[in-house]
Amino acid sequence: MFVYEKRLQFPVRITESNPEIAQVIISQYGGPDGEAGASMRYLSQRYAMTNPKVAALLTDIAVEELSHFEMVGAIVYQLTRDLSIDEIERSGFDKYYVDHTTGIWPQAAGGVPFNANQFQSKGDPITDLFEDMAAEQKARTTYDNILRLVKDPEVADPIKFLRAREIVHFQRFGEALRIVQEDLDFKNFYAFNPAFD
Amino acid sequence: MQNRNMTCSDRVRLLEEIGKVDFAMKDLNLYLDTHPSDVQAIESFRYYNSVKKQLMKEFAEKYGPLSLDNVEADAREWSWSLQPSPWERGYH
Repeated sequence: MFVYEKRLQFPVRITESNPEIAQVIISQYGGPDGEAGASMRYLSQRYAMTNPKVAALLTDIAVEELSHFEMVGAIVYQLTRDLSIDEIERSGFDKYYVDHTTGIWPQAAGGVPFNANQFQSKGDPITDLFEDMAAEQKARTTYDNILRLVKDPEVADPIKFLRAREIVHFQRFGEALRIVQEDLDFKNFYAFNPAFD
Repeated sequence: MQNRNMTCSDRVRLLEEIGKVDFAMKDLNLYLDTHPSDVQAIESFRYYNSVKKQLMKEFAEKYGPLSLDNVEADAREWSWSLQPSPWERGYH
């Protein structure tokens, strides 16, 4: 069950539109290492997590990722306010505009739509937690790539916040992996699926 | 009476305060998931939780509810859906 709070996890206050940078940042909305995939990955993997501490962590991080999905949507939304047709043409935003006007749709920067193949839910806690740690690093790299392109501090500040959270999640998933490995016994030395065998 | 002036600096300040307190809670929440016996962290969570409840109540009374828990019992109109959305420019 989920409850909504009518506020962003970190304030997004962007006064200047910028359709060029919006087309890059949208990758963290629906791209391969974006927030949609992150939240769906953790929400889906929970059922195979036999350790309750790790199941709770996946739930709580998934919920935070939903708040990040909302923040990235707000950033793209505020960057694409009040555009003239001339600005849409000059910025290359026309390719997006023709299908979505200025609505927010989950896609990668290259136009590839969001797809569940961007994440796994393997039903094996060790396999899934390694994926989760890699996913947090991939998202952190993407935010670093975005930050090299962003000049406006109003855009950079919420992106820096999101980047920092990827690092915290990586740390927590590392602890979760250690917790799951500590549950294993000598008969499962090679850490084969502790949820199934 | 509720003051729905979006640009009111007290409103933005209060919203920011709620954001900071809730962030502390979120970070403690994730930490406690993997360190469930850290009593100091539990105590900090309890403290921020009580501060947040107070701030959410104050915000609801002045500017309208941020959560359905804070809808006024004697409200004559449904301010939850009458207020702007948090992704709009000027909300935060």
